[in-house]
Amino acid sequence: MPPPPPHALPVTACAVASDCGVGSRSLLDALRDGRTRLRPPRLFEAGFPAFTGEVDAALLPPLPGHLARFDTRNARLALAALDDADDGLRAAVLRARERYGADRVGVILGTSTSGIYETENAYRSLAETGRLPPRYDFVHQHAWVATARYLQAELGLQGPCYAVSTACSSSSKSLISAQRLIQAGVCDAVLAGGVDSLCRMTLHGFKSLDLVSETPCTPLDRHRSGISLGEGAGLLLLERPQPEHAGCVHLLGAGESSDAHHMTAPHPEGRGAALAMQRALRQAGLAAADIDYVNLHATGTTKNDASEMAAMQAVFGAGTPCSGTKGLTGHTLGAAGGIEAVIAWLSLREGLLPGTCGLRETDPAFDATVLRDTRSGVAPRRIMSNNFGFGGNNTTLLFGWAQ
Amino acid sequence: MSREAVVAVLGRGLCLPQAGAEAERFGDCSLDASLLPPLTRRRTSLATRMAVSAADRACRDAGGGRDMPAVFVSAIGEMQVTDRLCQAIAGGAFPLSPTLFHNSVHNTAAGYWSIAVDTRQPMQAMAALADGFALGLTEAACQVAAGAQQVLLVCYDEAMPDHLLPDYTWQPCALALVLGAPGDDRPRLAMPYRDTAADARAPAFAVHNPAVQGLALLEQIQDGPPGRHRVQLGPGNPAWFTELVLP
Repeated sequence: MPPPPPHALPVTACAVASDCGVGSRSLLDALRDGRTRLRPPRLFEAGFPAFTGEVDAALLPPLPGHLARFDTRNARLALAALDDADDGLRAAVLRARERYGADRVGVILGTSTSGIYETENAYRSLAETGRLPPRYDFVHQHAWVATARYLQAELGLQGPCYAVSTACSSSSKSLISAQRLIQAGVCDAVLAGGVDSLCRMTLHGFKSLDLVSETPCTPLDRHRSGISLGEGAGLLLLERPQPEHAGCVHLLGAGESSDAHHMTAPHPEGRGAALAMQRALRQAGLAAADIDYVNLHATGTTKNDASEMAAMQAVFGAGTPCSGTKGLTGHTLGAAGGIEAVIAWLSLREGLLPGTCGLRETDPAFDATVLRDTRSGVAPRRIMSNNFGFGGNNTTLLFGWAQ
Repeated sequence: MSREAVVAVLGRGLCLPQAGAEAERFGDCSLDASLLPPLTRRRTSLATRMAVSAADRACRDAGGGRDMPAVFVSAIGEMQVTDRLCQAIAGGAFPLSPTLFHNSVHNTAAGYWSIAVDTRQPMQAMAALADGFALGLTEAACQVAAGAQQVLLVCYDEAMPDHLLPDYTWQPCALALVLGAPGDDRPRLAMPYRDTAADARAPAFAVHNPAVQGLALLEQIQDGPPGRHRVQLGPGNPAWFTELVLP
C-alpha cells in the first residue's frame, strides 16, 4: 500500500446553481455586486410574507429520456450545474473516470429535501383521486439517495454512492466523507457537495418554528428576523493529489462536532460550533491566525447568529474578517455547504472577501470584523467555511492553496 | 482494494420489535428506548426509537462507553413523519406541527442519540437504499481509518407508508455495531467491496430493508466457525461483500 496522502485534497472542478444563476461566474457576479436575488416565492403560494432564492425554471434542463424516472427539481438543479460549460464539471468527472476507472469514482451527495417537492405534488393527487400519479416514483425521486444515483447513472460511475442528510450541514458532511473515502483508499475521486430544492414542507416547517423572515434575510444585522430559504446545487470534485493539481484550491482540513444540546436551537455559547472550527484547524495543522476569512453559516435567525459569533469569539477573537452570504443565495439547507464551498473556491481564485448582503448595522453584541461590503483586490490564502444543522450537527471546512 | 481487515467488531445490538421466534437466536431484540426522556420517546418515530434501542445495546455489549462518533444509515428514515406532513400540506392544514417538522429530518435519530448520551462527537446520517448497510460500514470503517478509536454504526428502517412503496414489505429492524481498530481477539472485517454474487449465499430473509441485510453478518459472527468467511452485505449482482475473520 502506498502511504496515505496528506489530509489536503485538491478540488479539481466545481459547479454551482443558485438564485444567482447557473455557473460559478453568475455567483461571482453576485458576490461582486452584492445585490440580493431574493424575491417572493413563485414556485408555489406561501400564504404568508416570505422571500426565497428561487432558481429560474428556464435554467433547469429536463433529464435525458433514459433517466427520466429520476426527474425532479433536485435532479434538474444538479444537471444544470453539471453542464455549465465554463465550469466544466462534467468533463472533469469523465476525465477522472477515464483515469481511475468508473468503480474508483464515488458520488456522495448532501441533501435535506431530495424530491419532497414532487412528493407534495403527488400527495395532492392522492388526496383528490386516492392514487399517486403514474409518473411518481418514490425510489427514483424522493428517496434520499435519488439525486446521487441520478448523477452516478448520468456520469456512468460505479463507485460508492450515498446521500448524506444531516439537515443544513449535509453537503459539508458529504465533502468530509469524500475526503475520508479518498484517504482510506476506497476512492480515487469523489463527486461531492449537495443539492436541495424549494418545497412547501421546509418553508412551512421553518414558519412553524417562527424562523422565516418577512423581508429578505439580513444575517448578522441587529434587526435580523429569520431566514429566507433558497435552493440550488454546489458540486465539487475531490481527487487523490497528482502533481498537476499543485495549483488547485485544496480542501485543507475539516472538523465536525455535535452540540448535544437541542434538536433545533444551537448551544447558546456555540460550544459545538467552536469545537468543529478547532478540529478543522487541528486537522489542517493551522492556527486561527493562519485564516484570512471565515464564511459564516449566518442564517439570519437571532439565536443561530449569536451562537456562531460566540464561537467565533472563542476561536478567533475579534480580528478575523468574516461574513455571511445567505442574503444573496438564501439558505439552501442541504446545499448550503456545497454552494458556500464554491464561494470559498471563488474567493481564493478571484482574490476577494465576500460581504454580507442585506446587512445594514452589525449587531453591536458581536465583537467581530464583519464585512458588509465585498473586498476585491485581496489575496486570501486560507478560508474557513461553517455549516450547522438541526440536531446540533456542526461542520467546518478549510480551503486554501496547498503551499 | 486490499481484503485485509480494517475494523474489529467490539459490540453488537439488534432491535426487531415485530419479529417472532425467528429472532430468538439473536438474543434480546425488543424495543427499549429508555435512554430517551419520556417526552422525546412519545414524540419520536418507531425508526428513531429502534435505532436508539439497537445503539444502546451495542454500546453495552462493547463495554458501556457511548462517547464516540456515530454513523446512522437508513433508507427512508423518518418517512412516516414526512408522510404525515405531506398529508397536512396536501390538505392545507397549516401551520404545520413544529415538532413533526424537526422530527422529519434524516438525522433525527442521530440528533436525539447525541443529546441523550451527551456526546460532542460527530454524528453522520446517510442513506443508500438497499446498499445502506454496506456503505454505512464503509463510512464507519473510513472513520476508523482516519483515527477514530471507536465508531458506532446504526442501520435502521421502519415500514414504508403503504401507498408510497407497496412492493417494499419489510419488517422494522435496527442493527448496531461498535467498530474499532482491528485486533486479533475480535471478529474483524475488511472494507466492503463489490463483486459478482454468483457464488454467494443470499442473505437471510433478504428484502430491501438495509438493516435486514446486516443480519447475515450478525448471524455469521455469532454462529460461524473460526476462520475466514465471505459475507454478502446486500442484494443485487454485483453485490456488496466483506471478508469476516473470526478468531
